[in-house]
Amino acid sequence: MMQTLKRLLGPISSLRLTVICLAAALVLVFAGTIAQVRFGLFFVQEQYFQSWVVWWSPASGAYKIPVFPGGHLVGAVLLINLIAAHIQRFRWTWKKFGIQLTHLGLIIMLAGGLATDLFSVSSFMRLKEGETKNYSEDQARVELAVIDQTDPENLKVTAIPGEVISKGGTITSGDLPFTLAVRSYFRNSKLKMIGQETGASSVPAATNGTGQRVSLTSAPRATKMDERDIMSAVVEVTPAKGGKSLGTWLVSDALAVSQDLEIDGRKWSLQLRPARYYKPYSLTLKDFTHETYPGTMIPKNFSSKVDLTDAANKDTRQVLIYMNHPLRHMGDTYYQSGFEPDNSGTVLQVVRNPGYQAPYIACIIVSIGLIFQFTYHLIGFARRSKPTVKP
Amino acid sequence: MKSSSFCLAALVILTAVSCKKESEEIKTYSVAKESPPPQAPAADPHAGMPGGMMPGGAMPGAADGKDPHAGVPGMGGGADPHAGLPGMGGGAPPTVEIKDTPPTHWEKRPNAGMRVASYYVKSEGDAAAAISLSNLRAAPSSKLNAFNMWREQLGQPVADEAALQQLPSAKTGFGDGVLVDVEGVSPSANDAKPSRLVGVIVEDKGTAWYFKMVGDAAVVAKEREAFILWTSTVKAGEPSKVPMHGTKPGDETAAVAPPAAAAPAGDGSLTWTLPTGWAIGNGSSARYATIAVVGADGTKGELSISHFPGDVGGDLANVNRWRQQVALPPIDEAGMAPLVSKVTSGPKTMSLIDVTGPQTRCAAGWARHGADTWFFKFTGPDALVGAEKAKFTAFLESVRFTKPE
Repeated sequence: MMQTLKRLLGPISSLRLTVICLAAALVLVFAGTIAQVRFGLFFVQEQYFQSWVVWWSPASGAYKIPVFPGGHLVGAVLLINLIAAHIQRFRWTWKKFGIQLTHLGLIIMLAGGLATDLFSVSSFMRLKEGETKNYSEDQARVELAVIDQTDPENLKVTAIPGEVISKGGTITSGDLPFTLAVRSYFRNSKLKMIGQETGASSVPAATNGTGQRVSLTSAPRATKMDERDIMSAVVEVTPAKGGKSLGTWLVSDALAVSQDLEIDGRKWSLQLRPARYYKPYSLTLKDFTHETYPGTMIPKNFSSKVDLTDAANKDTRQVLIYMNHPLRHMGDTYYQSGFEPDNSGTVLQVVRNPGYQAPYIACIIVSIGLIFQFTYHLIGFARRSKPTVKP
Repeated sequence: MKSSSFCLAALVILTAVSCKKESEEIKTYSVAKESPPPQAPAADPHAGMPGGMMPGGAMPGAADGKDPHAGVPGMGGGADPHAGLPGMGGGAPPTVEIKDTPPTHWEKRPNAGMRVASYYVKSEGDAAAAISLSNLRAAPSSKLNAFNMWREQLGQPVADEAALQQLPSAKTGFGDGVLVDVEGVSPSANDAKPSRLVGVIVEDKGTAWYFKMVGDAAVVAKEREAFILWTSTVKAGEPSKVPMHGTKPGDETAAVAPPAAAAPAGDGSLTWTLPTGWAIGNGSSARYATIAVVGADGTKGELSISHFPGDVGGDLANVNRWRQQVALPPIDEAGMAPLVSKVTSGPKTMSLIDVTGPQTRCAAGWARHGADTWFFKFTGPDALVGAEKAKFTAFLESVRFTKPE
């Protein structure tokens, strides 16, 4: 049984495969770095490193062909290769113990990297002084928030992910008394005021709300670091129980405020906004400080004094967040990331990474393994080279 | 050891295959309605109404941003359903500064709209009361209309002239007035918590003064004596010299006008004349000052004043940043040139641009002074910025740099 298993593990545990994977990773990092100049960081991360295969397509975009293994594939094969080698070559002897430990550390490092890539979520919390929030916003993802405003105390929010809107079709939910049919969708778009912008189309994007005064056109994907896609869609609202369409609404990442509609005596609003992650606690910005070096715009120090209020865990404290001093609470880490362009508030990056301890654990295990291995051999060498006393 | 390795491998592969980072599920959840940041003053039906155009029915003494009744029409949070009711006042009187001696535990708040004094007092829990003083030109039915509006706010029926005559008198710094004391529950309130309103209406030299304290019934009862004592300490100061709209560039009237009714939040590098209806807000420590602007319909805008070393990337970069903030595409130098106008502020010439996006409008003025560039950015809904544009221009014309370059 074990012999059969070892025969099967032979090809995938080979050192040749390890070298091929490392070489492929080297090429991928090099090609990805060069591609960033043209396509920007986020696009390259998505296409080169967070993918199974790197695709190439002509300028027309008519077709695409796989040209190289992506980051996920290279990492996964390397991980399997390491595990297979670990299984096949494992010998329980003190002589090999350090190497086994080092391999285990590398496996944890790779598995942690994969877990980080798959499970970590990065978002931002923007706060003005005196403002309290219990949610962060994901700049890379959007959601269409359909909000029932009728209750004077609470908002009932139905959040439709941007990925669902991008697929088109008719969106239904048991919590909504109407359906939303996606009439047009643009991953990146341009909005222009009708009649106020030179060359703007005179065709309104929608029949209701802001869309009556705005024209909508497609735009190429944003690739520069200081640009981002402005996702827009036109949705048609129809009562779920049937009946006449209520018209179309333009929803766009560029529209900062919600648009209202009333159906069957209930007040609703629509807003395409960055996806929100709600927390069981809240932060209040008490003070934001931004210092620059005299005579320059170079930041010297910027810090945020926040009040953390976690009623469930009876945890209330004041925390100063600044460079290299994040706030960690309930699996979230808050880093001082930036500030509003007009200095009116702070921007905190919120990272939720269940695998953030893996590199530390892996490094400790690898270190112990290498120290043990070298020490073991050093002792053996010292013993062998010890001069024997002749009688 | 081998079996544990198999388990580890299986776990990793299973995880890699089964996990899905981006959820595509439609989720429904409930969240509490967000309250605005504290520096934003609540809507005041008086704010933004130019002098002489007050329809005569606006509610005096609207509460500020932390008024427990915020959101209740006519009490500070929303549009006043009474606006337009005839016979309450004949328009806005000249803006005056007042001198008063409030109790030490009252928290001073920025004045919005026609208010000349605003305070806030808090008790246990959420219980609180807002105190304010407003003035309007006196009209024949000022007292009765204000009396009935205050009664309506707390769900009380309309009273007649006879009921007004029976009200006790109260001594104020402007003379003897009538003391109103109403208890009830606002018809528009979200809960049935008892509220109380104590007010004094007094007319002096053609101006009607409205002292008002409204909020949680227990807090108002506790503060009633202090409130009445406070009304007796209030005295009118000198009228502010507010520049008229359309002040000519370089007009020395503006140059000699005293600085703002409220002192700027900064280090005294600037002086200005604050337009009627605008109020100094609680700005960020990173800003020189923040001024809250509230429109006649309750819409809110904000004027931020800040300064940075150097030219901050140049005019084009700044203009394009403001355009981006209102969701407009960037423009080039040639496209920017015709959009920039000039405003004269004493010896200084400021650049001014006005950009209007689908939702937001931004009028921004800027000028170099010494090693710094100063920015005056007025942001808000299109209608509000349009209505207040003349005031903004007048404000820029009144700005003076006090420190040498």
